[in-house]
Amino acid sequence: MGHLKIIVDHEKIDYSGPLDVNDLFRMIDNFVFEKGFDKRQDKDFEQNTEKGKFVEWQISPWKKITDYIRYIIKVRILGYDLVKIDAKQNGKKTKIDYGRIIIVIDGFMEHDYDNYWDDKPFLFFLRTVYDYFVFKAYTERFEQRLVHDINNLHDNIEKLFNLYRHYTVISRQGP
Amino acid sequence: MKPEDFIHIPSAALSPHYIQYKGVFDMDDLYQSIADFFKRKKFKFYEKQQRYRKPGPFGPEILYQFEALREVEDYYQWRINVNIETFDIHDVDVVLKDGTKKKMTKGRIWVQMWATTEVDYSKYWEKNAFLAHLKSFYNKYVVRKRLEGVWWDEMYYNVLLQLHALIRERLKMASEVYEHRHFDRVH
Repeated sequence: MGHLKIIVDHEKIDYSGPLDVNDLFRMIDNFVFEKGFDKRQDKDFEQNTEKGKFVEWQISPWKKITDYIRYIIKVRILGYDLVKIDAKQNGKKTKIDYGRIIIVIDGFMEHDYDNYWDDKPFLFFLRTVYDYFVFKAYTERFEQRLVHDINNLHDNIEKLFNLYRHYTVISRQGP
Repeated sequence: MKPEDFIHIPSAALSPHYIQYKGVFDMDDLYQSIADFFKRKKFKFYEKQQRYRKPGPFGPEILYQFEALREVEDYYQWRINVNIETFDIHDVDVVLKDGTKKKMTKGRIWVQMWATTEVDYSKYWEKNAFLAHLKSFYNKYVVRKRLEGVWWDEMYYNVLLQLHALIRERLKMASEVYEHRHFDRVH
């Protein structure tokens, strides 16, 4: 395995209230696709309990930036006690979900994903030197872009839940 | 020395995808939907094993192992494996929306699926050492991008993710959306 570096560590959203779980998954799927990531579905679990549904959903889409670096975003969603309730939308009666949702987002950058540089200790050393000193400027730019993408996703989720937002995405996309 | 010791990239695989569900579901419908899906996608569909056992008083455990193969071209094929295992299942009577009664299954279901794109599935290029080295070179330098970028991609997005979405849909799960199911092609 290449060198996996944590860029965004456990960005968390905890929400209780009315929501549409389908819309949430669809929005994240769309986001991932529009940003050019390949989708990987890790978990899709659902249990019907007495209090409602328990849902665990996890994806870890990846995107190859160069032939040396790729991004991995891990989105984990836990839904507790999800039940259907009646609601009015544009004057029409609809059914939506109600419950507690916890979303955890992680961002990783994997260097040398094809494992060309970790066969021998010397190559491993060279790779580390290369990443931290020679390639440093590029590495930082790539990190900035990943942070920007994740901030964007976080902001979209807040918009979808109609949360009270103090500020919108202010991170600037790297050059 | 065996051919697999020096042949580069003999296949492109996927990490396994999992679905777990606990509740009421229709096993017959699920089985038929999966078989029908593979038939529509021009796969040969095999049921490798069906194992029934009753380890406790809570209901039987049934394991279904499916394998689907499609020889897409002379040089590569898609192989998809699906394992379904049910736990603590028992029959329940369900009243559908139109008022009709139906027998369905209540319990836990666990689905695992994984897929591989295999090249030179007929082992034609392994008849002698020269051909095997040629195949290795071909895989590594000529068709590598196509294998990892096109053949694998088609299998993943047009078959496996669609099957994944189909199973979620038949189980009526909360996450029953696959946003890009009609995205790239109509068949």
